[in-house]
Amino acid sequence: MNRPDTVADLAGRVLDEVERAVVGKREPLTLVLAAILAKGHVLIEDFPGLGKTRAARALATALGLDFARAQFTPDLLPADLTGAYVYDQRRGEFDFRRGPVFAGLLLADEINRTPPKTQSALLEAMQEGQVTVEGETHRLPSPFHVLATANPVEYEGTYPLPEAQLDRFLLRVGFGYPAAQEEYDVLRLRLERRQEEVDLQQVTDAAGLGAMQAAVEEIGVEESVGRYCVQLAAATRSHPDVLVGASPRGSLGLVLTARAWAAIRGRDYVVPEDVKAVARAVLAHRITIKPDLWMTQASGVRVVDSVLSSVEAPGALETRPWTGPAAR
Amino acid sequence: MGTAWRAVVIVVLVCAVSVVVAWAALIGPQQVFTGPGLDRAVVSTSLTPTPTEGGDPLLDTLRDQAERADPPWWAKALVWAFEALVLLGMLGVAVLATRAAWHAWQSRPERSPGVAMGAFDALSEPSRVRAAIAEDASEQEALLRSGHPRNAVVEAWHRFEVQGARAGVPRRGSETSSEYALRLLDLVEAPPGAVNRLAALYREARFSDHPLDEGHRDAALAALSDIHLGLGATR
Repeated sequence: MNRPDTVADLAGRVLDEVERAVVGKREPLTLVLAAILAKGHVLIEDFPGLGKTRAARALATALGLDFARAQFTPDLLPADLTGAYVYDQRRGEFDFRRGPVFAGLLLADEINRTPPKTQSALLEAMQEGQVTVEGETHRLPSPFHVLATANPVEYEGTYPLPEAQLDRFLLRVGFGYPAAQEEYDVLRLRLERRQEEVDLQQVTDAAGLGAMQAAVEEIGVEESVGRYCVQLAAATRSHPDVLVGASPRGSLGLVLTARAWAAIRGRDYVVPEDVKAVARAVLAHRITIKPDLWMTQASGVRVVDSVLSSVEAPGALETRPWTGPAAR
Repeated sequence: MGTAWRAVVIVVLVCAVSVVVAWAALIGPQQVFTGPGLDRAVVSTSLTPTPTEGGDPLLDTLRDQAERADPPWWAKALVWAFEALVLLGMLGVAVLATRAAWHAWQSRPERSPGVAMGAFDALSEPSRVRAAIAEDASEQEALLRSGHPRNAVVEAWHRFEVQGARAGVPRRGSETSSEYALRLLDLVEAPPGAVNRLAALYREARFSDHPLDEGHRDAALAALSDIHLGLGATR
């Protein structure tokens, strides 16, 4: 699969299917799918009841991935997540019992409720694609993606993810409250189907998703667009409201997500508008605001908006060589 | 009233209150509430007891001398330290206020020259843009007909920037060429189908490595012609 319209067609069908379960959230769902196509992990930060878990389950079904859900509680241990060796008395040997992390799509629900030790175990799995238990390394299935959720309003008994760990998530998205009509549609559809569950169709499978990801890897990026990503990330570092700006992982995330976004839009090249479309979700959570501005309205999103409206976008007549992994 | 102005008003009030508090602390509560009062009568330092009605004159004299004596050095040091602290605090508040005002000024929303104009100018903007596109239509078409198809498409698209700048609607730095041209053509209500076709060809020519041939040029010429026709810009 290397035709951009094939990726776009499949992505469109996946989104149509997921949107049957999560009504009216096409834009954030597209961002989540873009992150998956870019081989990344997503942090969904929003209020309870906005369809985070349902979206993750629906994505897993439509993408044909094994789905596992881990409820992150204060007493959750790393072994509960990664798995552990259990002694088999009949054979007199230890067997490895896999934890929920061995899934195609893991929903890490309320990730900020568990202590840093367990958070780190998951983040290591996300970064390395493997877990090590009792000195033995176990590869995770491929593709492996984590959709983690966090509640932004509760602080009691939570362990906020430190900046270095937030940086591991390719995107942070929020679904937000639905419009009145969308909310009514949620009610209407639930009443019409007379059951809680939504019967979704599988659109592709793990191999199909792998092929889509390979097609995204073929998408090259014109140099001025790549430099634009770098300038945006760099501008967050010198913004007056910012204590710590986006790292180089931020600019890398920007270009990778923009590629996936372009593929979903049916193109095999990236335009600056793709970068702008994903910049908030990619950069905002990588920015630390100065502590003395906590009473103001300063936020990562506002910094990204400010940076987008101040950094020079690539012009029409820049003549730089076209480069990228798919340079042909 | 914007946030910046509210901040300035609050800072000014805080400064004023700080000045009053510092003044009050320096001159003492008696002076603040009653003022200097009447001059005291000079009291004889004679130790000869004189029968008076008010009490012991020696005690009165000592009390008076104690009141007129200079305060001890540590009290002076405390007052100076307090004054220095107040001064530093006021300076700090002033610096913070200046920074806040400067920051608010720097992060004010970018406004296009068109918005800054009066209502009459803003209303005439579309007609000025339409006139600029019409005036330059033949030049734009000539650019599209010459050179390699990739360069021709990009230069013809860039021509919208030139036309917009001539009409007083320049491209903002943070705006991509596509965003700008679409804004411009939306302003003059150009046919959206043709605009989208030409925009897609521009993006492909500018940002992809696809080989562009005469077919792409013809498609771009057709789209540009439709735009010009839609605006009544053909001659």
